[in-house]
Amino acid sequence: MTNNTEERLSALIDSELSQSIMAETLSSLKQSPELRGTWDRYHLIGDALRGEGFRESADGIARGVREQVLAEPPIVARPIPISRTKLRDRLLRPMAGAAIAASVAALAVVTLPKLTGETPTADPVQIASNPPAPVSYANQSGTRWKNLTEPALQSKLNRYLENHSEYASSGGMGVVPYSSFVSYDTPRSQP
Amino acid sequence: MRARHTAQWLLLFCCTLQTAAAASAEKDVHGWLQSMVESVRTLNYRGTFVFLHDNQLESMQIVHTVDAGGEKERLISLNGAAREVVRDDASVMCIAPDARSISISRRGAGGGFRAVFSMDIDALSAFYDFQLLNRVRVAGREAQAVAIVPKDGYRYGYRIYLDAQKALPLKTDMLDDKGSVISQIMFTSIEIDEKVEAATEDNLDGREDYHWVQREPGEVREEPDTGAWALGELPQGYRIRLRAQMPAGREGPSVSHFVLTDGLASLSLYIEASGSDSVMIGGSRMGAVNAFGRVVEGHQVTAVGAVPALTVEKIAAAVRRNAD
Repeated sequence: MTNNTEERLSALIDSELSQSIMAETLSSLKQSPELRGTWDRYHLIGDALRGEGFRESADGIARGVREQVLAEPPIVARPIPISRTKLRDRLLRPMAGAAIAASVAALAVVTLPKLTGETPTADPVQIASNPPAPVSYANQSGTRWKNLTEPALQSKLNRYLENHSEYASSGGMGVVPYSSFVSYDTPRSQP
Repeated sequence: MRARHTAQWLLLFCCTLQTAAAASAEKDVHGWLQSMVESVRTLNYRGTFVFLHDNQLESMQIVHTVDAGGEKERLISLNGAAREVVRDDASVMCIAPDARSISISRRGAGGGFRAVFSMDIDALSAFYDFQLLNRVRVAGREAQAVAIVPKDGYRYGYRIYLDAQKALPLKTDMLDDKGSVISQIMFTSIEIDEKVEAATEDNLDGREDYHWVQREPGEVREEPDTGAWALGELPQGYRIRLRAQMPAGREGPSVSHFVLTDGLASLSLYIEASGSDSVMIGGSRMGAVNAFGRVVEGHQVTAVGAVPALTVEKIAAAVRRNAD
């Protein structure tokens, strides 16, 4: 199996092949069990990266990979305190039907720390010294605090947030920070 | 069986290398993000975007221009009260017709704060992974999607769709530590053209009776001297980038203000002598923004920013008073 064939296979999954090459690739796929294994594997990896259910496959190789994927914590379930894989899945999910090539590129990123010998430091997520303080303020939606039991506190938090926006106004993201000021919500705290 | 697996993974690894090589032949993810930082600052554009946070959807217009006088930007809410923010290199003006108030803040010297927070991709690589995703269509334009994935739970992630030609962010999704999208900004139409002209400020007419507030920025320092306060162990990657002293005023006592950032995420830490009223102990979330308060030796400590709850809590917990 040549790299060229694999490239075509990858392009086929991406629907990027011309009609004639597609026919040729499909025909070699039909003839070669090895190629079908690769095909299955590409799909499995794509599915796994996007956090979707695995496809049933008649092929033993594919089953083997599936076991491997499930048994291989560094790839799909790295032991990081916060659900990073879930985040990654969400990041990738809307790209369904997306390039398996892109998925493979993503795999490069997933595995890179492992390849470079860098181990993720398990940052302690608990603050050990203090017992968790009671969460005494309800969650809020919108872009400024409102209806807190203490109006003075509410106005202070909003003032802080507005002040912070000035300093956070960059990071190259453009419009984000001031959007919350302009945003239509309850009247902002009176100065 | 083991050998077979190894061979398979080797094969995959080779494919991976090939793909990586192919990608770097074009613009890589670092290149895209660098272009984005540059474009946001240097291009003239006018567009309408929607802003979705929690379940609230809003629409806004932005006009950004650059000329010899520097950058000018005007942001106007298109629904509800016509609040707007007009800013240039020297000042930020927030106009709230619903509150009949206009507040003007002078910006710090040295070309504003953009320079401080311009994105340093190499430094960020310690705390985030960067991925080039696929091409999609946003606002009728071709866009390149990139992902910024945090390596731990102390910062949010982003999925950004950059204009394929100009690298302006046409859509930005912010994702929390659980992977849920917590806010989205998407242009529905945008005109990127040198001919876009600065929005005039004639809309101040009829607003003479507004309540005008002038806010002084206070003294801003960039050295790490934290004065009477010290910060213990911070979440990985976060450090103090600015320190300001906001003078006492009608709004309360003098406040020590620290801006902390990991280079992308940022939050502010405010420390003031706590009065009898409005003591905050504990956390509060508002959309993507989290706040956490505690009292340290008679001072109210409040951390606020668009970062996970864990981050504001840990940073507030790190505050100690220096021995006199």
